[in-house]
Amino acid sequence: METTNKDLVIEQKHEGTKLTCTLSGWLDPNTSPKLIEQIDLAEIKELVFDMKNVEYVFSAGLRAFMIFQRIMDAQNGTIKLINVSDQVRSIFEYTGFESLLEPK
Amino acid sequence: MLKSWFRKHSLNFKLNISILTCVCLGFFGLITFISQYAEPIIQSQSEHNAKQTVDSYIADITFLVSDTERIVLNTKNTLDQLSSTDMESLLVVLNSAIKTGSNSTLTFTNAWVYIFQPNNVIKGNLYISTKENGETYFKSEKVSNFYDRFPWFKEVPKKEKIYWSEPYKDKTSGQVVVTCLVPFKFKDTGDFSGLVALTVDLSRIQESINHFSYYKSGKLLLLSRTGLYVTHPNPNIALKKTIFDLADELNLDQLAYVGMELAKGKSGQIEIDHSSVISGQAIFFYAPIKKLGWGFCLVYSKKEFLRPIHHFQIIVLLAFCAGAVLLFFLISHICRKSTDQLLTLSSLATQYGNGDFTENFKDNPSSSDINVIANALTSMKENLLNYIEKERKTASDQQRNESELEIAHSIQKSALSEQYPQHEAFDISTLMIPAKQIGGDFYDFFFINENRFAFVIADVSGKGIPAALFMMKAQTLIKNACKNNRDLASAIHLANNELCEGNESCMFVTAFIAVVDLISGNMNFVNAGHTIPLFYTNDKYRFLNPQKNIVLGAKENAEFVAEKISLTSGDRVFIYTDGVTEAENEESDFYGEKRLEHVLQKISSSPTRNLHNVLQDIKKFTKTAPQSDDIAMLEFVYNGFKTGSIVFAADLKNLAGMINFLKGEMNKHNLSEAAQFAMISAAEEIFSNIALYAYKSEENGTIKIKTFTKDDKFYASFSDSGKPYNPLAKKDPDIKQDIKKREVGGLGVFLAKKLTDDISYSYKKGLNILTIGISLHK
Repeated sequence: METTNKDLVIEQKHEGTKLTCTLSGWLDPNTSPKLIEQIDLAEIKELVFDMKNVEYVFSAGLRAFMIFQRIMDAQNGTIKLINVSDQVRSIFEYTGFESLLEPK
Repeated sequence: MLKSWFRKHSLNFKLNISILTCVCLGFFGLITFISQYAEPIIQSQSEHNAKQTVDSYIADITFLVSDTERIVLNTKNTLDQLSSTDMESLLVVLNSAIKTGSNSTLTFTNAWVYIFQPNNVIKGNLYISTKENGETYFKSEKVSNFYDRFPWFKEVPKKEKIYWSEPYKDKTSGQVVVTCLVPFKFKDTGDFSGLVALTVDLSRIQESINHFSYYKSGKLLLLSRTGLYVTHPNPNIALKKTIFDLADELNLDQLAYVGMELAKGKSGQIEIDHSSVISGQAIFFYAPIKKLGWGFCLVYSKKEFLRPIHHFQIIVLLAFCAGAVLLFFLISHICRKSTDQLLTLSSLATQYGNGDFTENFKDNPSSSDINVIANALTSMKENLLNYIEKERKTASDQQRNESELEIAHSIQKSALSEQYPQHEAFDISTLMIPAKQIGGDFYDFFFINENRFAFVIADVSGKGIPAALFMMKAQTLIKNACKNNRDLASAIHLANNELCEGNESCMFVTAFIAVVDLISGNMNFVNAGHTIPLFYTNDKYRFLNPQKNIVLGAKENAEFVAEKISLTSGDRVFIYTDGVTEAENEESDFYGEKRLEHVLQKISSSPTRNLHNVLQDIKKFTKTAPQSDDIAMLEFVYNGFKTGSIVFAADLKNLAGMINFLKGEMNKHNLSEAAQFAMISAAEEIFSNIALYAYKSEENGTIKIKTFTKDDKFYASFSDSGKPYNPLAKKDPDIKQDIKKREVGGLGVFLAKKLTDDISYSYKKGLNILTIGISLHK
């Protein structure tokens, strides 16, 4: 069975030092490295991920967010995930990443 | 043919034909017999009569002849004393001779003495005394030729013997006469002197004979010695022809025969075809007058002498005809009377049959048989009226019962599921043979949801509408309770309580209820006082030993215990009602559980055929005994839920394919969205791990994924032939630790553990097998 992997679409929106990335697709081992490569975090103090159209976040995705967290921490910035579906949220909760999420 | 012809006609016709035919045959037989028998009798009687008649005439003539001969002899004796010269004395003698005749029944026409010449007898003197009109004349004459004077004598007699002449007509009187003579001799002459003669008048005898009648046309004929007719109705024959002449003329040998017989002095009777006297067949009775050599013939018509018989026959025939006509009318009358009454009775019977009892049989029965039928009809009518009266009383009840039965029957029928669901995980078949009366057996099967299937068999106590309604109620309650409660025991508990509510008629139902999870094969069941089900597994049917529960509807708030068995592909459950095990044969033996268990072992792959095998076996057992209770059976065959498997190249690019496959498998099992998400998330971690690490140095590595259900869980196993590695042995990451300090790896397996309900690792035959499972009901 061959199925084309779901691509990850990233829309970046700069508002001063705030970068809002709207993600669509899966965060899997294939797409997560691309996410890290494509986002330039220079000068960014407030990083927001709109997760509205994210279907799955696998551990590779979690690792990506862990990396972003560490970068933002280094720049004294903040990282926030918004519009996370309940199912995806559970992944974050299971793994102790709920601090990244917008409080419910 | 005669039979069918006979059958077509009425009794009257048949009776008349039969009786009249028999009577006719008998009658004609009798007539023939009597005629045959009577003819000889009458014939001999007539012969006897003829003989008597003729004998009296013979006696008369014989008397006449004897008298005459006596007188002639006396005269001769007197003359013998005289001398030839005493002529005066001669005259006296002659006169006295004639007178003697006058005094008796005899009449002498004349008396004479012929004295012939001694040398020539032809010549002589004749002294004759003649009687005429009462006066006697005497004269003497000379006779020159005796034969001329007396032509009826052939010769002059010379011997002392009486001679009789042939009959002849007297010249003077014209009467028929006959002369008797005898020679005499005077005392003074040596030889015969002459002849003395008396001529006898036969006219009286002739008259008497002519007036004689016998059988109307019968005639008496007097024949002389030569066969000459002395008397004959035909004057051309009398004294002119002999019997032999007539025999020649008429060509009748029989007549000549009679003449010969008479000449011989014999008597007798013969039949002659025709005669001169009477027409047609005649009977001749003949008898001789011996003294004279003459004879009598009595001729009479055979027809006439047989006339009494004919008369008898005609009279009897007429009497018979009259009798037959009378008989015909009598039979017709009796028949008509009987058949009329029978027809009346039959139309009455038809009326009674149509329910019209207004008329009665009023006639007087024409016979005892009719009386019997009429009485029977009357009593039938009375019985019918009584019966109808009774019937009327119970009719409404019965009608109600009948319609009740019909309603109950249709309720029962409508309640039974008819369409078997088509599902790859199972087959089901049911069989229901209701007994004559409506019982309360029912079966039911339904889906609770897509993967949970329930089947029920039950037996309601009682019969008729109440049972049917209770059955409907029970069926609905059980179905609803099963659909609305995940737990079977509590579903039955609720259904029971509902059934107990308002159950004043104290009805109850025994039931076996089973719910099968088609994916896992788990079967939960409750046996509420029902017959013990049979379970087929490992090639054998055996009875289950279910927990006993109280029947439904009997006790409020009763607790029910649900049990569980696990079905694997090919397992079967056979349930039935007591109509199966308690089917009775003629000896009142029960079919029983042993027979049931035995016959089921001849398993057929089709559950329908299996049920029919059981039914055949029951019928073979009960034979002709009637079915006393409903027979209901149900068999459920679990085919197992199909599992899927797939092989991928161990590459991350196949991630989406793997997820798609898994999604499809999970959709088959109707896993919830959350469960699917969890499974997919866990599977991705495992798949990625294998793809990234299992085949580090090799190419063409594969990952085989297999899905299956077991114990209420959906499983997916991931096999790879990489180096043995148990990811579960790795220590879990500390999720409480600050993200900044946490290790980047190790999250995947941890997540998989967290997301699934079951996760295990094994290494078998060179394969790392990691299996994850999730509850089917999450």
